[in-house]
Amino acid sequence: MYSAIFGNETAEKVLLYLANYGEGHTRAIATTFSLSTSQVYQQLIRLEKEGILVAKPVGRTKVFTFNPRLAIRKPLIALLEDILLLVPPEDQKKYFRDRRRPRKTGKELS
Amino acid sequence: MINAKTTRLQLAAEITKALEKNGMSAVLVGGAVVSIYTDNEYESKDLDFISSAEHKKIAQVMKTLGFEAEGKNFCHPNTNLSVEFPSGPIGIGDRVPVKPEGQIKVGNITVILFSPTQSTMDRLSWFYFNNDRQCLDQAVMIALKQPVDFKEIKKWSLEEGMGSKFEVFMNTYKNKLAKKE
Repeated sequence: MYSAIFGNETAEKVLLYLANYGEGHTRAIATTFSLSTSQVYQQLIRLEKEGILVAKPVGRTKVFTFNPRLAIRKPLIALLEDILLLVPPEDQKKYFRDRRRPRKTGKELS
Repeated sequence: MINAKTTRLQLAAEITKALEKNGMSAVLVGGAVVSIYTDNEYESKDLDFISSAEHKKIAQVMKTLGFEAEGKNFCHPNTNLSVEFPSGPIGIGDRVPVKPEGQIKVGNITVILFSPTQSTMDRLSWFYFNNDRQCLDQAVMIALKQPVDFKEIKKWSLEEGMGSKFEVFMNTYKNKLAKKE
């Protein structure tokens, strides 16, 4: 939508995903948008190198979040939130509405 | 009589009535409350009640209504709605315990539940702490259909350290409201 601001479409999707869900790892982001893992990983590493994201190891995966020390963290997230509001409802449902609250094992999803 | 046409609210009333008859009480919380306040715009498949009564005693009452226990869930052959009694106390974020401020009369039975404001805050707590945007949407749905106390929601959000996410809620609400008008 506004990929020119972020450099490219994958970077925009990565940042929107992280603003939406708070955190994410390569495979989850790639699966969500049907992108290749290498494409997503490349952007995550670029954004990490530039200090926009930070990564922490969780088991064998690296989970990325916004760098809490990034000076423009708040306005950047606010901008991404504004963009999320402009995402068409069908795309919101498809990409940005994964259930994140817990559900007891064996219980059917509503 | 519970059948396929029994609504969520009617079922909640049946359960409330049966529990009261046996000296117990329960409060309806969670997604079922959202369904009730949004006229099923959000459809929950289950009813979550919080009760201080012993689970064994609750199970006996549920059996008299025709429910069968499946693990912690209660299922009925005539309805797709399942019932659960998660452990209490009732809380919303750091506010524990919370006194439920909602009640709906079904005939001569009073179903106790979260108020629209409390239900909005309950849904927002999943958005605030688990980044669950389905619950953000549900909170917005309630606020669009029911009178809610935005000042109270803001106060609670700030208490939880969630000022920025409250802004996301308000912006989403205003955006949907503008599209509705």
